[in-house]
Amino acid sequence: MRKLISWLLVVMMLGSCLSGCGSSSSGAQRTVQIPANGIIAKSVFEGIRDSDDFGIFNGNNNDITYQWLFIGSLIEEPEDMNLKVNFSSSHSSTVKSYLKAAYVQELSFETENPLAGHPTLSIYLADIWDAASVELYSFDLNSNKATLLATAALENSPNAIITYIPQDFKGLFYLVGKSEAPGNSLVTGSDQSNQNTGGDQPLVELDDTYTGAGASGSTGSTGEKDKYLTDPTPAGRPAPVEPEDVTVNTAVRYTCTLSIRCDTILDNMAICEPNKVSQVPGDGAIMITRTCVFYEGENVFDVLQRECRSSGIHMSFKWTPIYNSVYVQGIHNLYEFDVGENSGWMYKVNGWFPNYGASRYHLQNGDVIEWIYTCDLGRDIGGFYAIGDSMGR
Amino acid sequence: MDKDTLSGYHPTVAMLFFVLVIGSTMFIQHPVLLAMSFLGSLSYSIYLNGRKAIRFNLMYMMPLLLIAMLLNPAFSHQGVTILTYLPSGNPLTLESIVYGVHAAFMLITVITWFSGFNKVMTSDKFVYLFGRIIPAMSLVLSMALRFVPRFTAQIKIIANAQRCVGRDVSNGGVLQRAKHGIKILSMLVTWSLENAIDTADSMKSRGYGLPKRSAFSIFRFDKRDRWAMLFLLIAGGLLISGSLTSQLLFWYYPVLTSAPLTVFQVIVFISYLALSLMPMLLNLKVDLTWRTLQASASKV
Repeated sequence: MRKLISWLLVVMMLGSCLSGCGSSSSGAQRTVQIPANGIIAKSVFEGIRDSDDFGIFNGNNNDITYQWLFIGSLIEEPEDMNLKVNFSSSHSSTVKSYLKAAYVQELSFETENPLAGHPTLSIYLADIWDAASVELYSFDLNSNKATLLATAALENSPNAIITYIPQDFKGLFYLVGKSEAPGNSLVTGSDQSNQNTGGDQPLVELDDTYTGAGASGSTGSTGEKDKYLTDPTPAGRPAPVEPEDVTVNTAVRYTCTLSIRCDTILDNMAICEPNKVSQVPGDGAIMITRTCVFYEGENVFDVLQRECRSSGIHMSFKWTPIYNSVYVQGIHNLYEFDVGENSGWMYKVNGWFPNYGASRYHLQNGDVIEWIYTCDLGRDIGGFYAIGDSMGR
Repeated sequence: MDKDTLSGYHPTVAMLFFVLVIGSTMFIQHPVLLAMSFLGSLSYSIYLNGRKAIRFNLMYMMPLLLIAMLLNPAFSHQGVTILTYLPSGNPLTLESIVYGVHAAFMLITVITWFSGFNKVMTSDKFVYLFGRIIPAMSLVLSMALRFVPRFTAQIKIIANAQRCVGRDVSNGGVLQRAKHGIKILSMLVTWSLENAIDTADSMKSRGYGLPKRSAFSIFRFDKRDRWAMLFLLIAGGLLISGSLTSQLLFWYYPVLTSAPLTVFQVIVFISYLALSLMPMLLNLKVDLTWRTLQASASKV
């Protein structure tokens, strides 16, 4: 029953998402069951594109439910597409022990060609993943080499829901849940892929198509703070882009996924301001993962503001000149300091908590954005490293 | 203020009354209590100051009310009812406007109560109350409280004297007026410096700071003070217990929420209404008695 409700919520939220993103939603939601062979006809996609609608395709394999979300305006050339996803476990244990991960789910696609329209894939697992982050890997059995392809969004409501936008379709893929914060230490830069990071560390390389790895790959390694007091960003993570230097190009549309969650409050209800208790959603989800359209040049805050506004979710912010970014004070009337003096909102893109403001995070196509409420300076959500240094000063 | 009844009561009664009404207005955020407190303070200030109070409320309090009402939503964006979005992109919420109204009314209610406080709690009463506990502090306070009225009185005297020789702020062109105004101020400052030295000399010659001094006071705690005190203690006790048991809880953010209505709550409301209207009721009772006495006297 809860699953049904959350499905309904997905549909409703996506509906409001689309209308907010400027596309005219016709209101008719297309939910299609994927047939056994997985093939969906070209005409279906044409219909979605022409009505500027969106399409939801549900499938089930090996007791795991999955869902594809297509956005009409992003489908340029419709064709017959095979949407079938296979969930298996042929090498799961190998990858699990190799990456020292707590959770691994193997999957593969029936199709080997990229799907038109960059659809979002949500996987509804049957159990809870008590992980801080989920990453997508491919694994080479011959050379024993794992390649980090992308980061995915994880939600446990009630069971694990993993959402990402697939870029590669050929071969076996592994969704890996890690209990610790996404380890930059685990990943060596793509230029140093042959260099092992440590004696017992597994060899992991960063794929070229790694989502969000950033066109602006300038990663300052001088060790000095920039003029907005930001420490150098770690290798493989995008450096901040000043919002005033960017012009938004509304002709180019991309998609990203966005979720807003406050699960940590549920564990700290005792210290939650009594007048705010009514605002805490029972499952911790203020906005479950949705796919949003954004324009080239926009930043994390632009997307948050647009999505909150279109869904009527309250969000309050303040421009902070010293950090050249906005500071998000409260979402859904849950403000900083409402759950203890170390509480507030943090954001995560592709599994990493940036050490700079949301207005300076320049989005790439397929980025996975999560806004998470922390009750302990990020320690409880695995993001303390983002603020650790500035607090230490 | 010989017309006012509360002024004739013992200073502890008057003091307790003002502590209760001003404290509750400032620290208990409840719209019902605030409305009662506002009503009480407004009627009392009009009774005390007459037309001047009405003019003051319209000229200064109304603009203050409007400013506070508009200012709050500009800075606070909390609340679940989003009306529209401000140009900055932050939401404009119904709750922030309602809280702005509350804050504005609280501000003017406290100011109005203080205007009554200044009339009733004259400096002799203040020194009487606190002279033993905090002698230096009460002296400084009573001098500080006297400061502004004294200066306004003195500036009037100077301005009148200057007017006689044609050098008032109403004489001459703009520049001339400004010059006269500055002259008057300069005289006032000179006078105040001289006065300060006079005061110090006078205090010294009367033995300020010497031990074993006694203080004269004219106040007596009689039967009517006891009754008033009893009422204040009961009303204050109800108020505090209601507040401690969170029956007087009212949240403006994020949703307008009131504690569920209970019988006790209603009792507190009634006692608070009586409390905030207490000086007015006392005055009305005295006026009524006076009138009936007059009527019966004229009959005889």
